[in-house]
Amino acid sequence: MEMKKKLYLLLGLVLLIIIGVLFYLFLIQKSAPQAEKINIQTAKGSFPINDVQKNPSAEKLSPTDTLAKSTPDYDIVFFDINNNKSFLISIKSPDIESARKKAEFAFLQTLGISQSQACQLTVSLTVPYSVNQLASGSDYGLSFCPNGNPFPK
Amino acid sequence: MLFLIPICLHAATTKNDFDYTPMEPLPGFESATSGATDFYDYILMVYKVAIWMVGISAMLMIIIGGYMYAVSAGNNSAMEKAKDVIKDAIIGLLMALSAWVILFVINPDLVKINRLKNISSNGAGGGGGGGGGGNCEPMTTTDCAVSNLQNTCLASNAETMSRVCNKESGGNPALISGTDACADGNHFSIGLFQVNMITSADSIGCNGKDIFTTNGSGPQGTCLEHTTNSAGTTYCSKWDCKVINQDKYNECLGKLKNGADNITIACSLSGNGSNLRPWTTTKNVCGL
Repeated sequence: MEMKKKLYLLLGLVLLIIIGVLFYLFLIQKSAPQAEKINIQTAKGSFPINDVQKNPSAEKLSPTDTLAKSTPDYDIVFFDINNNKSFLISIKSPDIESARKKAEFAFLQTLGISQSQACQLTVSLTVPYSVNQLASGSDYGLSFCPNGNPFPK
Repeated sequence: MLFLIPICLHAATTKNDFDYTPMEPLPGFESATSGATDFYDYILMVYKVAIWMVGISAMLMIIIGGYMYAVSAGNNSAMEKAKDVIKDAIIGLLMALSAWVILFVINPDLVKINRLKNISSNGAGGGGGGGGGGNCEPMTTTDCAVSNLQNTCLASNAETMSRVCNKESGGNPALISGTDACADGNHFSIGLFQVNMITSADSIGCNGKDIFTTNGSGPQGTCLEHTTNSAGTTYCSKWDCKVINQDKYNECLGKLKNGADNITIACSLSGNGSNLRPWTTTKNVCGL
Protein backbone atom coordinates (compact mmCIF):
# COMPACT_ATOMS: atom_id res chain seq x y z
CA MET A 1 0.00 0.00 0.00
CA GLU A 2 2.85 2.34 0.96
CA MET A 3 4.56 1.46 -2.32
CA LYS A 4 1.40 2.30 -4.28
CA LYS A 5 1.15 5.71 -2.61
CA LYS A 6 4.75 6.47 -3.52
CA LEU A 7 4.11 5.41 -7.10
CA TYR A 8 1.06 7.68 -7.38
CA LEU A 9 3.05 10.54 -5.84
CA LEU A 10 5.86 9.99 -8.33
CA LEU A 11 3.47 9.77 -11.26
CA GLY A 12 1.75 12.96 -10.14
CA LEU A 13 5.09 14.75 -9.84
CA VAL A 14 6.23 13.68 -13.30
CA LEU A 15 2.86 14.70 -14.73
CA LEU A 16 3.17 18.13 -13.09
CA ILE A 17 6.66 18.61 -14.56
CA ILE A 18 5.43 17.66 -18.02
CA ILE A 19 2.43 19.99 -17.76
CA GLY A 20 4.79 22.73 -16.54
CA VAL A 21 7.12 22.28 -19.54
CA LEU A 22 4.21 22.25 -21.98
CA PHE A 23 2.66 25.32 -20.33
CA TYR A 24 6.00 27.13 -20.49
CA LEU A 25 6.34 26.34 -24.22
CA PHE A 26 2.76 27.53 -24.75
CA LEU A 27 3.47 30.78 -22.88
CA ILE A 28 6.63 31.44 -24.93
CA GLN A 29 4.58 31.20 -28.11
CA LYS A 30 1.75 33.36 -26.80
CA SER A 31 3.93 36.07 -25.27
CA ALA A 32 5.25 37.24 -28.67
CA PRO A 33 4.49 40.97 -28.91
CA GLN A 34 1.73 42.08 -31.28
CA ALA A 35 3.22 43.47 -34.48
CA GLU A 36 2.30 46.92 -35.77
CA LYS A 37 0.07 46.83 -38.85
CA ILE A 38 0.03 48.83 -42.07
CA ASN A 39 -2.51 48.74 -44.87
CA ILE A 40 -1.26 47.51 -48.20
CA GLN A 41 -3.02 48.37 -51.44
CA THR A 42 -3.51 45.62 -54.02
CA ALA A 43 -5.49 45.30 -57.25
CA LYS A 44 -8.33 43.65 -55.28
CA GLY A 45 -8.40 46.20 -52.47
CA SER A 46 -6.41 46.81 -49.32
CA PHE A 47 -5.80 44.72 -46.21
CA PRO A 48 -3.58 45.04 -43.13
CA ILE A 49 -0.18 43.33 -42.91
CA ASN A 50 2.44 43.35 -40.16
CA ASP A 51 4.76 46.33 -40.63
CA VAL A 52 8.07 44.55 -41.21
CA GLN A 53 9.95 47.85 -41.07
CA LYS A 54 8.92 48.24 -37.41
CA ASN A 55 10.01 44.69 -36.60
CA PRO A 56 12.95 44.95 -34.14
CA SER A 57 14.72 42.02 -35.78
CA ALA A 58 14.46 43.55 -39.27
CA GLU A 59 17.59 45.04 -40.87
CA LYS A 60 17.30 48.28 -42.84
CA LEU A 61 19.56 47.76 -45.86
CA SER A 62 18.82 51.08 -47.56
CA PRO A 63 16.00 53.66 -47.57
CA THR A 64 14.00 51.39 -49.90
CA ASP A 65 15.06 47.88 -48.83
CA THR A 66 14.39 46.07 -45.54
CA LEU A 67 15.61 42.59 -44.68
CA ALA A 68 12.51 41.38 -42.84
CA LYS A 69 13.80 37.93 -41.94
CA SER A 70 17.03 36.07 -42.51
CA THR A 71 17.80 32.42 -41.77
CA PRO A 72 20.41 30.04 -43.21
CA ASP A 73 17.63 28.69 -45.48
CA TYR A 74 16.14 31.92 -46.85
CA ASP A 75 15.93 35.72 -46.74
CA ILE A 76 12.69 37.71 -46.90
CA VAL A 77 13.22 41.26 -48.21
CA PHE A 78 10.68 44.07 -48.38
CA PHE A 79 11.03 46.75 -51.08
CA ASP A 80 9.30 50.11 -51.18
CA ILE A 81 10.58 51.62 -54.43
CA ASN A 82 8.71 54.66 -55.79
CA ASN A 83 5.69 53.70 -53.67
CA ASN A 84 5.62 50.22 -55.24
CA LYS A 85 5.70 47.74 -52.41
CA SER A 86 6.97 44.24 -53.16
CA PHE A 87 8.58 41.27 -51.44
CA LEU A 88 11.42 38.95 -52.32
CA ILE A 89 11.92 35.46 -50.95
CA SER A 90 15.51 34.44 -51.65
CA ILE A 91 16.36 30.77 -51.20
CA LYS A 92 19.81 30.18 -49.69
CA SER A 93 19.85 26.48 -48.81
CA PRO A 94 20.96 23.90 -51.41
CA ASP A 95 17.87 21.90 -50.42
CA ILE A 96 15.73 24.37 -52.34
CA GLU A 97 12.41 22.47 -52.14
CA SER A 98 12.46 22.22 -48.37
CA ALA A 99 13.75 25.79 -47.96
CA ARG A 100 10.92 27.07 -50.18
CA LYS A 101 8.27 25.48 -47.98
CA LYS A 102 9.84 26.89 -44.83
CA ALA A 103 10.24 30.33 -46.42
CA GLU A 104 6.65 30.50 -47.68
CA PHE A 105 5.30 29.49 -44.29
CA ALA A 106 7.54 32.08 -42.57
CA PHE A 107 6.42 34.71 -45.09
CA LEU A 108 2.76 34.22 -44.13
CA GLN A 109 3.66 34.30 -40.43
CA THR A 110 5.92 37.37 -40.74
CA LEU A 111 3.21 39.37 -42.48
CA GLY A 112 0.32 37.81 -40.51
CA ILE A 113 -1.69 37.08 -43.66
CA SER A 114 -3.47 34.15 -45.32
CA GLN A 115 -2.43 32.36 -48.50
CA SER A 116 -5.14 34.07 -50.57
CA GLN A 117 -4.02 37.50 -49.29
CA ALA A 118 -0.39 36.64 -50.06
CA CYS A 119 -1.37 35.84 -53.66
CA GLN A 120 -2.61 39.43 -54.06
CA LEU A 121 0.82 40.86 -53.16
CA THR A 122 3.79 41.31 -55.47
CA VAL A 123 6.08 38.51 -54.34
CA SER A 124 9.15 37.15 -56.15
CA LEU A 125 10.85 33.92 -55.18
CA THR A 126 14.34 33.42 -56.60
CA VAL A 127 17.42 31.25 -56.21
CA PRO A 128 20.96 32.70 -56.55
CA TYR A 129 23.49 31.03 -58.87
CA SER A 130 25.79 30.09 -55.98
CA VAL A 131 22.94 28.10 -54.40
CA ASN A 132 21.63 26.24 -57.44
CA GLN A 133 22.85 26.89 -60.96
CA LEU A 134 19.88 25.30 -62.70
CA ALA A 135 17.17 27.03 -60.67
CA SER A 136 18.82 30.46 -60.69
CA GLY A 137 17.72 33.29 -62.97
CA SER A 138 13.94 32.80 -62.74
CA ASP A 139 11.11 34.08 -60.58
CA TYR A 140 9.05 31.14 -59.27
CA GLY A 141 6.47 33.05 -57.21
CA LEU A 142 4.61 31.51 -54.26
CA SER A 143 3.95 27.81 -54.84
CA PHE A 144 0.35 28.03 -53.56
CA CYS A 145 -0.61 30.91 -55.87
CA PRO A 146 -1.96 30.50 -59.42
CA ASN A 147 1.20 32.11 -60.84
CA GLY A 148 3.54 29.90 -58.77
CA ASN A 149 5.94 27.65 -60.66
CA PRO A 150 7.84 24.54 -59.53
CA PHE A 151 11.62 24.42 -59.55
CA PRO A 152 13.19 22.70 -62.56
CA LYS A 153 14.00 19.01 -62.09
CA MET B 1 5.88 3.30 -32.55
CA LEU B 2 4.89 6.95 -32.80
CA PHE B 3 8.42 8.17 -32.23
CA LEU B 4 9.78 5.77 -34.82
CA ILE B 5 7.92 7.66 -37.56
CA PRO B 6 10.64 10.31 -38.02
CA ILE B 7 13.20 7.53 -38.47
CA CYS B 8 10.97 5.59 -40.87
CA LEU B 9 10.49 8.77 -42.89
CA HIS B 10 14.15 8.84 -43.78
CA ALA B 11 13.46 5.81 -45.92
CA ALA B 12 10.81 7.72 -47.79
CA THR B 13 11.63 9.33 -51.07
CA THR B 14 11.41 13.03 -51.81
CA LYS B 15 8.64 15.23 -53.18
CA ASN B 16 6.47 14.12 -56.07
CA ASP B 17 7.22 10.43 -55.60
CA PHE B 18 3.93 10.12 -53.72
CA ASP B 19 1.67 13.13 -54.11
CA TYR B 20 -1.51 13.02 -52.04
CA THR B 21 -4.18 15.63 -51.46
CA PRO B 22 -6.55 14.94 -48.55
CA MET B 23 -10.23 15.43 -49.41
CA GLU B 24 -10.59 17.34 -46.14
CA PRO B 25 -7.65 19.06 -44.37
CA LEU B 26 -6.91 17.69 -40.91
CA PRO B 27 -8.35 20.22 -38.42
CA GLY B 28 -5.84 22.30 -36.50
CA PHE B 29 -2.94 21.62 -38.85
CA GLU B 30 -3.58 24.06 -41.67
CA SER B 31 -0.40 25.62 -42.96
CA ALA B 32 1.23 26.79 -46.15
CA THR B 33 1.84 23.13 -46.89
CA SER B 34 -1.49 21.62 -45.93
CA GLY B 35 -3.15 21.79 -49.32
CA ALA B 36 -1.62 19.46 -51.85
CA THR B 37 0.86 17.26 -50.04
CA ASP B 38 3.45 14.69 -50.84
CA PHE B 39 4.21 11.60 -48.78
CA TYR B 40 6.31 13.64 -46.34
CA ASP B 41 3.53 16.15 -45.57
CA TYR B 42 0.93 13.43 -45.27
CA ILE B 43 2.97 11.42 -42.75
CA LEU B 44 3.80 14.61 -40.85
CA MET B 45 0.10 15.41 -40.43
CA VAL B 46 -0.67 11.85 -39.30
CA TYR B 47 2.23 12.06 -36.83
CA LYS B 48 0.93 15.30 -35.31
CA VAL B 49 -2.64 14.01 -35.11
CA ALA B 50 -1.40 10.81 -33.45
CA ILE B 51 0.40 12.81 -30.74
CA TRP B 52 -2.79 14.75 -30.03
CA MET B 53 -4.80 11.51 -30.01
CA VAL B 54 -2.60 10.15 -27.21
CA GLY B 55 -3.52 13.10 -25.00
CA ILE B 56 -7.19 13.09 -25.94
CA SER B 57 -7.51 9.30 -25.36
CA ALA B 58 -5.83 9.58 -21.96
CA MET B 59 -8.12 12.41 -20.91
CA LEU B 60 -11.16 10.39 -22.05
CA MET B 61 -10.05 7.33 -20.08
CA ILE B 62 -9.43 9.44 -16.96
CA ILE B 63 -12.97 10.85 -17.25
CA ILE B 64 -14.39 7.34 -17.71
CA GLY B 65 -12.35 6.09 -14.71
CA GLY B 66 -13.54 9.03 -12.63
CA TYR B 67 -17.15 8.30 -13.54
CA MET B 68 -16.70 4.61 -12.69
CA TYR B 69 -15.18 5.60 -9.34
CA ALA B 70 -18.00 8.02 -8.61
CA VAL B 71 -20.71 5.46 -9.32
CA SER B 72 -18.94 2.57 -7.53
CA ALA B 73 -20.98 3.40 -4.40
CA GLY B 74 -18.38 1.93 -2.05
CA ASN B 75 -18.07 -1.32 -3.99
CA ASN B 76 -14.38 -2.18 -3.49
CA SER B 77 -14.09 -4.22 -6.67
CA ALA B 78 -15.62 -1.45 -8.80
CA MET B 79 -13.45 1.17 -7.08
CA GLU B 80 -10.28 -0.82 -7.80
CA LYS B 81 -11.34 -1.29 -11.40
CA ALA B 82 -11.92 2.47 -11.77
CA LYS B 83 -8.53 3.22 -10.19
CA ASP B 84 -6.86 0.82 -12.61
CA VAL B 85 -8.47 2.58 -15.58
CA ILE B 86 -7.20 5.98 -14.35
CA LYS B 87 -3.78 4.59 -13.50
CA ASP B 88 -3.38 2.93 -16.92
CA ALA B 89 -4.43 6.13 -18.68
CA ILE B 90 -1.91 8.22 -16.71
CA ILE B 91 0.89 5.71 -17.29
CA GLY B 92 0.14 5.66 -21.03
CA LEU B 93 0.11 9.47 -21.17
CA LEU B 94 3.34 9.71 -19.17
CA MET B 95 5.09 7.22 -21.41
CA ALA B 96 4.15 9.13 -24.55
CA LEU B 97 4.86 12.59 -23.16
CA SER B 98 8.05 11.56 -21.36
CA ALA B 99 9.51 10.34 -24.63
CA TRP B 100 8.67 13.67 -26.27
CA VAL B 101 9.95 15.79 -23.33
CA ILE B 102 13.19 13.80 -23.01
CA LEU B 103 13.89 14.14 -26.73
CA PHE B 104 12.95 17.84 -26.64
CA VAL B 105 15.26 18.52 -23.66
CA ILE B 106 18.17 16.71 -25.33
CA ASN B 107 17.70 18.58 -28.61
CA PRO B 108 14.49 20.25 -29.89
CA ASP B 109 15.40 19.13 -33.43
CA LEU B 110 14.88 15.51 -32.37
CA VAL B 111 11.11 16.02 -32.22
CA LYS B 112 11.01 17.62 -35.65
CA ILE B 113 10.73 15.66 -38.87
CA ASN B 114 13.19 16.78 -41.49
CA ARG B 115 12.69 16.15 -45.16
CA LEU B 116 15.45 14.20 -46.87
CA LYS B 117 17.74 16.46 -48.85
CA ASN B 118 17.17 16.13 -52.56
CA ILE B 119 20.67 15.13 -53.45
CA SER B 120 19.80 14.33 -57.03
CA SER B 121 19.27 17.85 -58.33
CA ASN B 122 20.51 20.35 -55.78
CA GLY B 123 23.86 21.46 -54.51
CA ALA B 124 25.95 24.46 -53.71
CA GLY B 125 27.28 26.14 -56.76
CA GLY B 126 30.07 28.61 -56.98
CA GLY B 127 32.37 30.54 -59.18
CA GLY B 128 34.02 28.77 -62.03
CA GLY B 129 31.51 28.10 -64.78
CA GLY B 130 30.07 24.95 -66.25
CA GLY B 131 27.09 22.90 -65.19
CA GLY B 132 23.52 23.86 -65.99
CA GLY B 133 22.56 27.28 -67.27
CA GLY B 134 18.87 27.59 -66.59
CA ASN B 135 17.11 30.86 -67.29
CA CYS B 136 18.42 34.39 -67.10
CA GLU B 137 15.21 36.41 -67.08
CA PRO B 138 15.15 40.18 -66.67
CA MET B 139 13.57 41.11 -63.33
CA THR B 140 10.27 42.94 -62.84
CA THR B 141 10.63 43.48 -59.08
CA THR B 142 13.41 44.37 -56.57
CA ASP B 143 16.22 46.91 -57.09
CA CYS B 144 17.20 44.96 -60.20
CA ALA B 145 13.88 45.43 -62.01
CA VAL B 146 14.55 46.75 -65.52
CA SER B 147 12.33 49.76 -64.77
CA ASN B 148 14.47 50.57 -61.72
CA LEU B 149 17.84 50.07 -63.43
CA GLN B 150 16.68 52.43 -66.20
CA ASN B 151 16.86 55.20 -63.59
CA THR B 152 20.45 54.38 -62.65
CA CYS B 153 23.89 54.53 -64.25
CA LEU B 154 23.10 51.12 -65.81
CA ALA B 155 20.25 52.64 -67.87
CA SER B 156 21.83 51.96 -71.25
CA ASN B 157 22.25 48.25 -70.39
CA ALA B 158 19.33 47.90 -68.00
CA GLU B 159 17.89 44.67 -69.37
CA THR B 160 21.26 42.88 -69.65
CA MET B 161 22.28 43.93 -66.14
CA SER B 162 18.87 42.92 -64.78
CA ARG B 163 19.53 39.43 -66.14
CA VAL B 164 23.02 39.40 -64.59
CA CYS B 165 21.58 40.47 -61.22
CA ASN B 166 18.85 37.83 -61.39
CA LYS B 167 21.37 35.09 -62.10
CA GLU B 168 23.92 36.26 -59.51
CA SER B 169 21.71 37.08 -56.53
CA GLY B 170 18.07 36.70 -57.59
CA GLY B 171 17.71 40.39 -56.69
CA ASN B 172 18.62 39.85 -53.02
CA PRO B 173 20.57 42.93 -51.83
CA ALA B 174 21.54 41.15 -48.59
CA LEU B 175 22.97 38.04 -50.23
CA ILE B 176 26.34 36.93 -48.91
CA SER B 177 27.83 34.29 -51.19
CA GLY B 178 27.81 30.89 -49.57
CA THR B 179 30.73 29.76 -51.71
CA ASP B 180 33.26 32.63 -51.92
CA ALA B 181 34.81 32.27 -48.48
CA CYS B 182 38.12 32.93 -46.76
CA ALA B 183 39.78 30.39 -44.47
CA ASP B 184 38.48 32.30 -41.43
CA GLY B 185 34.86 31.83 -42.58
CA ASN B 186 34.30 35.42 -43.77
CA HIS B 187 32.69 35.70 -47.20
CA PHE B 188 33.70 38.29 -49.78
CA SER B 189 31.11 38.27 -52.61
CA ILE B 190 28.19 40.44 -51.55
CA GLY B 191 24.87 41.88 -52.68
CA LEU B 192 22.90 42.29 -55.90
CA PHE B 193 25.85 41.84 -58.26
CA GLN B 194 27.87 39.67 -55.87
CA VAL B 195 30.63 42.26 -55.84
CA ASN B 196 33.96 40.77 -54.78
CA MET B 197 35.16 42.72 -51.75
CA ILE B 198 38.80 41.75 -52.28
CA THR B 199 39.32 42.15 -56.00
CA SER B 200 37.02 45.17 -56.38
CA ALA B 201 38.23 47.05 -53.31
CA ASP B 202 39.09 50.21 -55.25
CA SER B 203 35.63 50.47 -56.82
CA ILE B 204 33.85 49.82 -53.53
CA GLY B 205 35.56 52.67 -51.78
CA CYS B 206 36.67 50.63 -48.78
CA ASN B 207 40.31 49.61 -49.03
CA GLY B 208 40.38 45.84 -49.37
CA LYS B 209 44.08 45.66 -48.50
CA ASP B 210 43.29 47.09 -45.08
CA ILE B 211 40.49 44.59 -44.54
CA PHE B 212 41.91 41.31 -45.85
CA THR B 213 45.28 39.65 -45.86
CA THR B 214 45.95 37.02 -48.53
CA ASN B 215 48.55 34.33 -49.03
CA GLY B 216 49.48 33.03 -52.46
CA SER B 217 49.58 34.20 -56.03
CA GLY B 218 45.90 34.92 -56.74
CA PRO B 219 44.12 38.11 -55.64
CA GLN B 220 42.09 36.08 -53.13
CA GLY B 221 45.11 33.98 -52.14
CA THR B 222 45.70 30.34 -52.95
CA CYS B 223 42.78 27.95 -53.15
CA LEU B 224 42.89 25.80 -50.01
CA GLU B 225 39.89 23.59 -50.67
CA HIS B 226 37.96 22.48 -53.73
CA THR B 227 34.35 21.28 -53.60
CA THR B 228 32.41 19.46 -56.28
CA ASN B 229 28.68 20.09 -56.22
CA SER B 230 25.93 17.70 -57.32
CA ALA B 231 25.95 19.23 -60.81
CA GLY B 232 29.54 18.01 -61.13
CA THR B 233 31.04 21.51 -61.01
CA THR B 234 34.26 21.83 -59.03
CA TYR B 235 34.92 25.22 -57.47
CA CYS B 236 37.18 26.70 -54.83
CA SER B 237 35.25 26.80 -51.57
CA LYS B 238 38.02 28.11 -49.33
CA TRP B 239 40.65 30.71 -50.19
CA ASP B 240 43.82 31.51 -48.26
CA CYS B 241 42.63 34.89 -47.03
CA LYS B 242 41.38 36.29 -43.75
CA VAL B 243 39.86 39.46 -42.36
CA ILE B 244 42.30 41.58 -40.36
CA ASN B 245 39.98 44.50 -39.63
CA GLN B 246 36.52 43.26 -38.66
CA ASP B 247 35.07 46.77 -38.17
CA LYS B 248 36.07 47.84 -41.67
CA TYR B 249 34.81 44.53 -43.07
CA ASN B 250 31.41 45.14 -41.45
CA GLU B 251 31.32 48.70 -42.77
CA CYS B 252 32.14 47.51 -46.29
CA LEU B 253 29.57 44.71 -45.95
CA GLY B 254 26.90 47.27 -45.06
CA LYS B 255 27.78 49.35 -48.10
CA LEU B 256 27.59 46.36 -50.46
CA LYS B 257 24.20 45.32 -49.02
CA ASN B 258 22.80 48.72 -49.96
CA GLY B 259 21.15 48.11 -53.34
CA ALA B 260 21.82 51.60 -54.73
CA ASP B 261 25.50 51.46 -53.69
CA ASN B 262 25.92 47.97 -55.16
CA ILE B 263 24.47 49.18 -58.47
CA THR B 264 26.84 52.18 -58.48
CA ILE B 265 29.80 49.86 -57.84
CA ALA B 266 28.59 47.52 -60.61
CA CYS B 267 28.56 50.56 -62.95
CA SER B 268 32.12 51.37 -62.03
CA LEU B 269 33.25 47.76 -62.53
CA SER B 270 31.53 47.29 -65.88
CA GLY B 271 31.62 50.66 -67.61
CA ASN B 272 27.93 51.20 -66.94
CA GLY B 273 27.12 47.63 -67.89
CA SER B 274 28.96 47.55 -71.21
CA ASN B 275 31.71 45.19 -70.03
CA LEU B 276 30.58 41.98 -68.30
CA ARG B 277 34.08 40.74 -67.50
CA PRO B 278 33.46 40.75 -63.71
CA TRP B 279 30.64 38.24 -64.30
CA THR B 280 32.29 35.99 -66.90
CA THR B 281 30.53 32.84 -65.72
CA THR B 282 27.08 34.45 -65.81
CA LYS B 283 27.89 36.06 -69.17
CA ASN B 284 28.76 32.67 -70.65
CA VAL B 285 25.93 30.73 -69.00
CA CYS B 286 23.34 33.30 -70.06
CA GLY B 287 24.87 33.89 -73.47
CA LEU B 288 25.04 37.66 -72.88
